[in-house]
Amino acid sequence: MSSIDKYIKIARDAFIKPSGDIEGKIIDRISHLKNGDNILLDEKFLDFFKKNNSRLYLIAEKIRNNQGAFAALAISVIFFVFIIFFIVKIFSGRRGSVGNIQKLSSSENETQYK
Amino acid sequence: MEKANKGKIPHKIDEKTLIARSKRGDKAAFEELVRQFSRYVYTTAFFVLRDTHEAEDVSQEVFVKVYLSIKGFRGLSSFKTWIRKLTVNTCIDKLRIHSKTKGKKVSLDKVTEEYEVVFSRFDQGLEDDYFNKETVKEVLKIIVSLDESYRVPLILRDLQDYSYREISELTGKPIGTVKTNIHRARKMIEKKLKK
Repeated sequence: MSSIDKYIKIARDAFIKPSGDIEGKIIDRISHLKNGDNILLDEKFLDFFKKNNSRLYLIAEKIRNNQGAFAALAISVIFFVFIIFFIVKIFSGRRGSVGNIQKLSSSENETQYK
Repeated sequence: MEKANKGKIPHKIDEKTLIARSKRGDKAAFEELVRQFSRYVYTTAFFVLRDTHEAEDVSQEVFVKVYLSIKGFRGLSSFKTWIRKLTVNTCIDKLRIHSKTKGKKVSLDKVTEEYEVVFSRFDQGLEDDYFNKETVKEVLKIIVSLDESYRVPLILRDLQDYSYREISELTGKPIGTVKTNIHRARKMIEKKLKK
């Protein structure tokens, strides 16, 4: 980590303290809302609001923002499924061959008794 | 005194409870949300816009938008993420609308004189921390003095955790340009720090 990264990391915890009472001003503003304030909820905001309330959109955004990670995850899942499939196939093949041997041996026994 | 505390929530209640109560129309709960997030919104707006008055306007605008729409907020992302995106979008719109902001440089020296730069997590007793704090103030001063094309992508990437793709969509610049500008901005900071 370069020194600049270190300072930028610390800078995330920095705040600018306003001279005035910003909290008070905001609270006062929302206490005296006018009908005209609804203009703030314009088409752009509504679009943003709709998107951020959509699970599908947020998941798609996560994937788009981390394409590499999701590709790696998808490859690992496919690889894991393939391994499981391979193991199952081997075991089922073994069982089949053991079953066949048992069948053969039992049929041999039967012929011997005859 | 009583009047000042009227409607104030005495203990720090968690974000989810405050949002749930705000959705039901509890104004005191919403005021507590304002207390918890106004500093964050103001700081974000200031770093993007470099103007204390505009940062104040944006802070008010953001909370009015939140207040008017909180009933419909589903909480699929955290409140902080939501308010952060809303603040950044509002600031970018302001930058586009008020092209007069372009080229305006507000030195952080002025800001530190009039407004304190506060650190939320810092052990003030240690000498190292004092040095770090002063250097961070210097870094922030340099960031604020950078041109918009370097400053905004750097802030969004390094301070707000935006992806290169998101920054590219917001600023309307190709991803390659965004990456180059962020890299150059870091180099500029390094260079100015060494001076």
